[in-house]
Amino acid sequence: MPPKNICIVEDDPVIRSELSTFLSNQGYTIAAPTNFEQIVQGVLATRPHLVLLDLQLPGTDGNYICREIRKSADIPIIVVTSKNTPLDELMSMNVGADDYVTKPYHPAILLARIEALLKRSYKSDASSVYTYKSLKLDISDAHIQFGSEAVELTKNEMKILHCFMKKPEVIISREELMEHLWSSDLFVDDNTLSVNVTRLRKKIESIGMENPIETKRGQGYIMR
Amino acid sequence: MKFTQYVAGRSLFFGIMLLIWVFTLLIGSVVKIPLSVLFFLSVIWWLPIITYVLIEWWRMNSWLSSLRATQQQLEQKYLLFNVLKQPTTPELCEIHEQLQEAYRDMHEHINGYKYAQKAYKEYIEMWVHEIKTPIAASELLLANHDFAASGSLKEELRKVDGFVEQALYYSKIEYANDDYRIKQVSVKTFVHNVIKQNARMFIGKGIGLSVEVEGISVYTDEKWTEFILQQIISNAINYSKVNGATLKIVATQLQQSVKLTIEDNGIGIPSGELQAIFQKGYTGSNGRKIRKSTGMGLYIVEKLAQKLNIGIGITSVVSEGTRVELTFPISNVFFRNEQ
Repeated sequence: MPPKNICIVEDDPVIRSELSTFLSNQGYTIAAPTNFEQIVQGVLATRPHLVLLDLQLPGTDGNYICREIRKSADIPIIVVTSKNTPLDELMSMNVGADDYVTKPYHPAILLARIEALLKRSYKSDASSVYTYKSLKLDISDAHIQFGSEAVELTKNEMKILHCFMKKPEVIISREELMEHLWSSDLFVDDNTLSVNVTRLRKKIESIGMENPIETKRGQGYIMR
Repeated sequence: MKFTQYVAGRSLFFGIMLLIWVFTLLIGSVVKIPLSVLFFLSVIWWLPIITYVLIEWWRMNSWLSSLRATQQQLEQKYLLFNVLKQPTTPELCEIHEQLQEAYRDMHEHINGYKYAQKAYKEYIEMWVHEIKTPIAASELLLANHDFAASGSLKEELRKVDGFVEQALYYSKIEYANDDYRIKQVSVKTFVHNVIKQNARMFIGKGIGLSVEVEGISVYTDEKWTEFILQQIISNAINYSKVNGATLKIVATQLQQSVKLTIEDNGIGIPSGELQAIFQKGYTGSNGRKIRKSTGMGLYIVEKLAQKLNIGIGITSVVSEGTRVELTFPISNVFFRNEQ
């Protein structure tokens, strides 16, 4: 699966670099043009799948950029801003932004918004299929496949496996897993998480794969 | 003003007139002037005086009555001298003019304050927007760099953000701000948004959450409502019990409204303190016991709720829990005049 390109338009250098790091850790390719005088061309040149656009930029107006990008390409745009009046939001929606996130955002929530928008915009894409050691997870219709056998997953199980698939061979804490679930509107508690992980393991084993999810006592889980 | 009052107010003048009259009568009787002549003299003496006094009283009284009547009708009493008709005597004109000038000056004086207040409000709003960038940057830094204290630091950062939001909404309610937009919103949207913002706190404290808000929508402003809910939920989190804490959020469709209840099983509020919790700066025994509380959250919540026509009711039993009920109008009929 080729990684998705995300273009960050942000004038604050710390946010720009940290957001780049954060999103590339999540498996995205990041471009962050800084020539704000010719930012529209700069954005389009990076051929992004999604644009994260800050509204307050030096010497130019985010809404203007949004409109200009819209004129020449149908790229999904998430507007990121610290202004949170209804008027600002309305303006951005009118000039063609797909979503609107106010600062300070939880990185996990921003990520969920990005994923949701990408999923909405590139439905038929192959990006909905994740593969790890010939275990295939298709998030578009929530099933896993190993060899010729397949089984359906519940929403919770799918989100948990999705989390592992994105960061294989890395320890993921229970808190991190739960935060990931909560950011997708699945407000599970500690017990439910344990139950779901157990069920997920059983389902993976039921289609013939050796259990790939190890418990790391006191630290969380790891898939390998 | 009564006529007797008017006369009493001029007792010196009438006293002197009376003295001169009595003195004249005495001299007249000493020099043996006939009574009829004295009577005639008295009439000549008193008739113009009484006429003059009556006319003056009538003019003064009619101006004063219109003053009183106008004042009674006025909603903004301070506008009195702007709407009052010009008096007919030069003395009253002079008073009228001076008072008008005093009013104009006071008006300018107040405008000065209004301007300063507006400037301050604008500064606060700008400041809030400015501070959000460093907070967002810190959030990202913490997400990228894991170290021993980063979890606690994340929590502290959420608190900072919470207080910043409070300052923003305080300026909104204190300085008549109408930047809200009423539209149909699904309850699920704002409830889930607030829960997600608090996810880390819920998970960290192990608070069990049950949410039943599907398929119900209300007319309100989304951001303001989220702020209201944020205050209520953060109270529930702060005053939760240590083990087995739960929070239940349920939306119920009623005939003319939607009821949203937020029920926790936390430490509760003593019944004697319940009616004071919306007061500005009121912290209560819980606020003092558990942590430094500003007593501003619920005060702002009530003010915002008033503007949005949201009813708010709180019931609580100590060490059993607190139940907050928000009642939303489901039609936008309340807001039609404003749109």
